[in-house]
Amino acid sequence: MFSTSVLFLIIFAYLMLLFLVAYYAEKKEQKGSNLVSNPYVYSLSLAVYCTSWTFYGSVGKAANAGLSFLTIYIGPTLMAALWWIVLRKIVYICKENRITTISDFIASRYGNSLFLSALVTLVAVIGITPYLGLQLKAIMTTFSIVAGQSEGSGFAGWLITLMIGVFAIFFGARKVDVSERHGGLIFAIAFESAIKLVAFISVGIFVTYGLFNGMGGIFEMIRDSQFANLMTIGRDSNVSFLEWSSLTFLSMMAIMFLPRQFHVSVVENSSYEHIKKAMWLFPLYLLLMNIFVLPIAYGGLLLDEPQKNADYFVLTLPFKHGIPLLALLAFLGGFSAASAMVIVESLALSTMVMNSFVMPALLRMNVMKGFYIMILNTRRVIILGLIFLGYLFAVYIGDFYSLVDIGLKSFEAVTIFAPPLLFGLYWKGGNKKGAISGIIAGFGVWMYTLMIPALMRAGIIGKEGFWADVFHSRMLNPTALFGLEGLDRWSHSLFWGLLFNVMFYVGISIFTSQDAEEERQAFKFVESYSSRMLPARGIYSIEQIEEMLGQYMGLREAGEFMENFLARHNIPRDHISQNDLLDMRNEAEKVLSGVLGSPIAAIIFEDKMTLTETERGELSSSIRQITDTLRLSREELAEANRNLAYLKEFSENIIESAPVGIVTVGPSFNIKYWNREMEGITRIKQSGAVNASIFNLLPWVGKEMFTQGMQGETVVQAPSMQSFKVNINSLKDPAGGFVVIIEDITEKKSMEEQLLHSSKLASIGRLTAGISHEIGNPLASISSLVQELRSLELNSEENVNFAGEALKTINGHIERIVNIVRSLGDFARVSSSEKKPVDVGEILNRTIGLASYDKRFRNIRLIRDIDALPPLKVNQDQIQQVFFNLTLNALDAMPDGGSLSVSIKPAGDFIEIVFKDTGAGIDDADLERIFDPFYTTKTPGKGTGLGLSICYGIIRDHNGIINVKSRKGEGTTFVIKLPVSSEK
Amino acid sequence: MKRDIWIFLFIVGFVLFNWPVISIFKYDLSKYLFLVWIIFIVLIFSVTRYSGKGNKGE
Repeated sequence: MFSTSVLFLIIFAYLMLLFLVAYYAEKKEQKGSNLVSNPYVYSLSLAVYCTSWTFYGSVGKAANAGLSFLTIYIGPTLMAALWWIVLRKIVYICKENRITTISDFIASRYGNSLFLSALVTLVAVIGITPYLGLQLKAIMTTFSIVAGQSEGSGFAGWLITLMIGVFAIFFGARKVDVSERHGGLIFAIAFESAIKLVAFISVGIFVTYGLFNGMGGIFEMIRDSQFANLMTIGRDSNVSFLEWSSLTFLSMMAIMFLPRQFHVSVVENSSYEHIKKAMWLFPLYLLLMNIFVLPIAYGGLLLDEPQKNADYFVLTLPFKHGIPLLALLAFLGGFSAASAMVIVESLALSTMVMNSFVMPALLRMNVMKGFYIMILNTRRVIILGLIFLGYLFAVYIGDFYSLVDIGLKSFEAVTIFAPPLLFGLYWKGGNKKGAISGIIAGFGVWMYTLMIPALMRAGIIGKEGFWADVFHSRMLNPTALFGLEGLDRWSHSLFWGLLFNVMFYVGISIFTSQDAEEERQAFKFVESYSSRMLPARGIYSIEQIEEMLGQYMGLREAGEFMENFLARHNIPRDHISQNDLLDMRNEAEKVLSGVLGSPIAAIIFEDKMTLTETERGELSSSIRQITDTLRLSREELAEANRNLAYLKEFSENIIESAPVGIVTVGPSFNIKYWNREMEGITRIKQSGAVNASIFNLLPWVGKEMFTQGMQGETVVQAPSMQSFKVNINSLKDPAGGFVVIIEDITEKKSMEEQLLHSSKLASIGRLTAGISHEIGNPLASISSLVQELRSLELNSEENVNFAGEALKTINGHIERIVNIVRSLGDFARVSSSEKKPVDVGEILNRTIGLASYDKRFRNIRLIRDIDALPPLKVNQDQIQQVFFNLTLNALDAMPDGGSLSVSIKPAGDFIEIVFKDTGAGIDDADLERIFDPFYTTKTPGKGTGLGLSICYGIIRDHNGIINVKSRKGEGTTFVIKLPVSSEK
Repeated sequence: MKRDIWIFLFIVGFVLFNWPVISIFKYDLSKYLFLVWIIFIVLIFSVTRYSGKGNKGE
């Protein structure tokens, strides 16, 4: 025996463990794990069907009525064979229409009838309350047994009921979940199913092999005992074949229509494939759960345990044979079985009550403020209320009946739902009036044939008086209605209940008509897999749908819904067809039904309920709380998407409108991006360039340009004679790649060359006076000598010698003129852009030679200091141009003569060329701007101002530096530094 | 998976688990019931395993 406080602690710890298991599973599911959404958890969760009735009651039934307990499990096994047809269809319809309870399902089928939803809920609550009580009764009784008390403790029962109620709220009513799915709860239920199976099998193994010699031994002993009739059914037993078939049928209905079974098999289903596996896994579980029922029942009887206490053999046998821990395990197993049922059933029933009664009442009473909190708290109160209703039943009525009896009454109650639901799935003719009539008739028969006798037996209805006379009459006897005797009470109630139910349902459906909504729903349910068009219902405009949705969810949410729908279906807002409007309306109704329940959503869309503006505002504000978190995340995501899209478009616009070609390539040099300017440069479209190799499209771009040391700016010439400035840089992307910027400088280069050439010609122009003098003097001398030679007679030695000397002088002058013309021609020719190794000193000498033709040079004292240096790779024409400009500028600065020293010397990695004159010097103000284009200190017409800027450009092009130092009146020094390796 | 297979299996099971068949085995009924139960589960397993993927519409 265990003390009460220890037991409470164990119960509390076990419930905490279940909660942690549920919490863990929920967290895993949120991270994307399929811990909950798998067929094994689904199948184990279906085993919530096995309650304390299974754990304790089956043994009791087996010990008292033989094999009939098996019908409770054979029925679901048979039904499982039809799950792929029936259950899958129900799951499909529920998911399509966001149906979350069996009452909503039936109501939705028959034109979204709120009355029908309420009726089904009422029947379910009345029918299931005894079943809830049965579980609490089992817990209280077993608690007493394990605590060693002869009677159940009232306080213990009340406290345990409260604990289970609180945990039911923790498991399933922490927040309003529009999908009504509880992954954590389902995982905990599956966990409990495993616990109870292990516990029961452990006790079974102990009894069968610990107390007896195995199955064979027990069966042989019972066959030879007074209990032999328990091994059969029919005439020689307590159970007739008819009762056997009735109980089998009842359990087939129970596995489908008990609210908790509907919830775990339909609402909590996450994949149709899980149904396939459950079709054999769940019957296997039932088989394993029942293997040791007979051995335990027979074993108890053979050990002289009282037959009336057989319900609790599972506990008493281990206790009495010195294994208290096994008894504790069995207690926990039974507790698992009972608590799982109570939690899931109360959650399912509370949702039904909320959707069918509370929500419509709140809306009609116009209680809109704090709607979210109100529905959450109301739901919690309903859960506790249902559980305590069960407790009251257990305390005041439960003692009169066995666990099995109470359970079977509930099975009979939910069988009332079978005709409207099953017929409604396959027969379009069934209508709302028929369904309501059938359910009321069936419920009436159930009450009359099962509950009235139970209440009479419990003494609540007296055995004398008017009603006693009625109940004992031949025609209206609740146990032999209309004089039909010889049936066991389950068969009797089942027969009359189904008969009246089906007769009213079918009869009234045939002789009454359906309204448009019923027709539509019938079509939808029966033809649920068909893609055929549904009959048109009232068409709302897009604005009407948005307005209706906005009234209850808020305008922003309604607007988002509309935009999402139009975007998903690719429909322009002002060109929406009737069919699309119909689909939009249906989807809007589904969204609302997830929050308010399908009957309410249907009513709202049929405009049968109106609210004032203030009420709508308050309601929409409350409903908005339910979707707030989700909307916020969606908003943030949408905002981030918008920003990203804007940045992308902005960047693309910049790149596309850039006046240079921009290409990005991947690590393997395949083109990723090719802008519009590149299309212009190469005449290759972007579509033809992307993914091609850059070396194929731009063969003048070499692979060596991409190596680390070579990246940067390069000028290349394409075979088409175009010149490009190519700038290559690595992308700062972990994936690698490069960005290549290409500028067509062909025109610019051509203009630069023309400018240089013009500058050259301009420079030559400056020599005109000097050159004409240099050429004119020898020409004059030649002319004079020719005149003399013409008149000379070669008749004397003296005349012959004179002629020889004159010809020699003439030849010398001609050679001098030829040299002048040749040097001018060499200087004036169009220069190439090629850099070649040349002797810079020789260029300087040649330049000085050319400049010396200027007559001003005669007044200049030239000082040369040129070191012998190895050839330097330069463009000799351009360098000569630089030297020439500097020399002429020096001459300009010394009109009255002076000295000019030129030197070339090595200076580290550079060659230093210095031009120093003793001319007028340059003002400090002019010094800063001396290299600017078109800047000149000469009088207009004397200079273009381009000479020094061209020199600057040429030196920079050679990666060199040109500097100037000057002081007014003290001369000017130009220093040029050219790198020894002047090529990139 | 064809709906006919499942309806057939259901009918077979219903017959095997009810009168008059169970009356034949009424003296070894528990063994018979558990054996048929196991066979029925195996049959369901086999049909789900070896049938093709079912259509959504039957």
